[in-house]
Amino acid sequence: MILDRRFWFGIDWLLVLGIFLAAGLGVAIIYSATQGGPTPDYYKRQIVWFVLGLVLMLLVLAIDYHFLLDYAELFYIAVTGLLVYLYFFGALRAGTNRWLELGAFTMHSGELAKLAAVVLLAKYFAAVRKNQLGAAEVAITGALVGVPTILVILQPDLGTAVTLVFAYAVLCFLAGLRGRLVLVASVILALALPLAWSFVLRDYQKERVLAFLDPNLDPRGAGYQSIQSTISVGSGGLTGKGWLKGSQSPLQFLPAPHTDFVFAVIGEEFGFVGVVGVVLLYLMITIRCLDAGRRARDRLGIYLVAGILAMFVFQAFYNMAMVGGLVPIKGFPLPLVSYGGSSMMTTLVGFGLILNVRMRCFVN
Amino acid sequence: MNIYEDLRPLQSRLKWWRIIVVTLFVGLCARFWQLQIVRAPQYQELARSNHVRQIPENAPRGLILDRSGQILVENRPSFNLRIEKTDWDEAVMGELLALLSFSDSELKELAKQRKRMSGATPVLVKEDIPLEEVALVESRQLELPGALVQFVPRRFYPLGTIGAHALGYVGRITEDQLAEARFDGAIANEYVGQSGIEFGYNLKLMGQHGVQVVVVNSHGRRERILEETPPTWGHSVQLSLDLELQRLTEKEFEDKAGAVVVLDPRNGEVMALASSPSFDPNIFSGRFDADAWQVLMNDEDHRLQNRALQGRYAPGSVFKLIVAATALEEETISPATRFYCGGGVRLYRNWFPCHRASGHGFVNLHQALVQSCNAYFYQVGVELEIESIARYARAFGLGSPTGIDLPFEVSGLVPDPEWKQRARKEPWYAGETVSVSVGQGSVLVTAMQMAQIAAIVGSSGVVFRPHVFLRPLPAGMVAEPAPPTPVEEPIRRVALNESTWRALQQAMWGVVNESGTGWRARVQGVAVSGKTGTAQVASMSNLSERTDEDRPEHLRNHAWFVGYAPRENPELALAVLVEHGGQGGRAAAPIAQKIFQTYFEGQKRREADDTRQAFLVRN
Repeated sequence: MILDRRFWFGIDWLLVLGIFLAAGLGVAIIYSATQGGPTPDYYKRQIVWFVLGLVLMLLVLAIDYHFLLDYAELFYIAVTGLLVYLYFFGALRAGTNRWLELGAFTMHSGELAKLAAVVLLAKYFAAVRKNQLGAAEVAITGALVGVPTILVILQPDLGTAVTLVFAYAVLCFLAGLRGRLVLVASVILALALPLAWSFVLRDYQKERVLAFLDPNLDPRGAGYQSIQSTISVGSGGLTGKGWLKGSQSPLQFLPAPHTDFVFAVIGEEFGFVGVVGVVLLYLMITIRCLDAGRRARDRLGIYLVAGILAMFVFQAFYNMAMVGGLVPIKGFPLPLVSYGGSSMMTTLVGFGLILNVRMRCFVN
Repeated sequence: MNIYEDLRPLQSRLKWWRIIVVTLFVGLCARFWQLQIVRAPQYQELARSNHVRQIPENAPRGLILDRSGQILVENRPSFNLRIEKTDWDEAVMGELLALLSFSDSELKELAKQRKRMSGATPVLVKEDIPLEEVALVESRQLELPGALVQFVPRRFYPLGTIGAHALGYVGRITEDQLAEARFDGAIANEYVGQSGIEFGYNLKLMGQHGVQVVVVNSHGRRERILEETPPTWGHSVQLSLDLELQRLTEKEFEDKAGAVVVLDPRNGEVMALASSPSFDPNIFSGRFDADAWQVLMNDEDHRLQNRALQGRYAPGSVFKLIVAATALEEETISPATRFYCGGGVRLYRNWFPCHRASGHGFVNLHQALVQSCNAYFYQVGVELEIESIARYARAFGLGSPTGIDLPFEVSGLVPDPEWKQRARKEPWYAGETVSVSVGQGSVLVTAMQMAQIAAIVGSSGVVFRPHVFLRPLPAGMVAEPAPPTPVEEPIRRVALNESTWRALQQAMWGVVNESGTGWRARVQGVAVSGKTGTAQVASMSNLSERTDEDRPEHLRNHAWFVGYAPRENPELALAVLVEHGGQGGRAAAPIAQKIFQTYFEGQKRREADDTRQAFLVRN
């Protein structure tokens, strides 16, 4: 691959700036949330993950996405195989077998599954040269996304599954879905929900949904996280208590303050101002990514950007809405900000692909 | 790759994104506006109550000392287990119930506590927990969020039953008491004075509670102290009680029921105040024990009752002092007037017997008092108006509380026709005056009043307000011995002729020293004066046994002895009552003798010590 000089100018520096700002904020909050706890050095590890992720992002950038997507099927099959393997032989960690152990490191398999599925979907949708999707295409793509989805549900990791289904729905919409099909899909979903409630959802998942509907049902149990999260955010007020000055996370009232509830710490320490700032930051990143999609020179680029962005926006929105007590508690990280190597690296690889699409918009 | 791909439908669909994402993010901001701006104060309060706890630090009550500075009441360290309401958790409760041992009464008490659990009051799970349970709870802080072991100074009575009625006891404050002025500053579940000195001087003894504002984490573990106001000790209190006399008195009553009051007629200081049988006040200040409570509450011996202040008894022959004073003052008789005793006397067609069946013959007032002749006083009574007797009885302090600084003192009863009309709707019969003349009938007195009468006669009418409290001491400090005697002013005088006082005093001296009924109270080298009394419990006509000793114990007479010593300028006055003791001279006088002897021996020793001290200082 030859690195054209135009590539340099094709890079969306504003998007890169947004990524750095979000990751930097993440490191600062992780520092604040882990001080005095058992893992005060997590912020350093997060920096390492970020740097490793940047390296991966650069590698992805350097290679034309068309060339990369030649290996999409292979990647998909490998990841699906991994999920199957983990289902039978995976070690249980925190009640799930979603973790792939690589020596001293563990990799969150669901993150890989999301990336693999969305890339293959983009490739398949791009190959469909109609402006409207037929039932056959929906069925095939549904199967493509269904296999990893079911495998992650079995782990059980409902959050990743929901993210995947959401990204799939977005791609279907983009590819053009007939109204009739939407109707059929809705009916199937409506029928599936009660079945899912009784057969798929585990007890703790049901508890979480019920606790969301009324957190005070069980203030010490399932509703606890939701209550403490809103207390953290609400007590931040307009400008917050100041960095390192929060009480909810150092005194261990707020659960998972450096991962799933990192946004609650932002709300407590930086107040409404900080919350709006972060929302604007995510909005900027989203708009820059949409811009990359608009400029993409082919359908593959558009689908790729749309699929990755759909997952990113869904996770970010859901996480913030969860902290705000608007949706049930799910184990989502806030992408780029929450502590976690798997999420950080797959997110950055995703942004690498988006930057890749934009960078090569002029190249024939 | 087809470079002519038509991307427009996709690009137009992509535009929807921007709109949707912006809308969602604006909605998100609106939610956070609601949480962080509109409801911020509410959530700030929740975050604060999440981690800020106010832990009261109970102030130790002041010490109670006797007149020489010996400790009568102190405090011991103890631990209570509490749970903040905000940390209330059934699972934690279940674990605590499994971890610690609870008695039935403690479980009942816990259920009560839970029911009236209010926002500010923490739930008292278990009181006065043993040290090994303190260790159990402290080592499981992580599994027991919110469980708090609190240090609480607890009242301790090192002498047990000694002086229990005067000292009183403490008990957990009731809801009603929280609103009373005498318990100002008390907090829920605090132990406050419920009787005796503990009750009467509660505000003085109570200290100022402190508070510790601490930050706790989600497991209830204390992270740091935000601010602290240390508790301050209550004032210590020095009493006029003399531990040596008190101890001796109660020892004399070991297997008897009754009451003793010993006081200093020169100032009203109470040197000993005993009521038997007694109780151990530690029962009330320790861990709540319903069984022990029940035993005390249903006690047939009425241990909790302070017989010296609350027991109402007929005065028996002691009342003859007042009848004699009335007759002399009203000039019904002179000291020389004689009446005949033939083992009794027939009046109003009834036979009124004397205690000596063979009779005393012709006796004058002095002889009648010394021998305690009933026939003499029956005949004096016939000549007296009941109103006059009542007036003099009241002048001697009967019929109303003496005003001692201990709670729940009763008035007793001085009967007169007006009272009888009011209470029984019946007229006064002349025969009743005859009964009253020998201290029977409806007259009721307390041991406290009787000691006061002895003091009044001994000091020719000077009346001091009896008191147990001597002086307050600085908080927490132990007094040096020999406190300066505070100057007490008499509250009133009983104005009788000097000759009347002289007659009464001579007769009382004679009772003890002229082979009178009180000879058993005689002390070598000390001029003890006194008067015996035998108060009938059942009316004579209802008894088949002629002599008191043959009757079952609960029908035997109460034995009285009142007295003072020395004869001139008395230093000690007392009243001894032995319930169902039989004759006053036999049962009560020997106890009075021991008390006088102990006091005056102790005084001689103290004087000798002082002389030696003075000698040593001079040389």
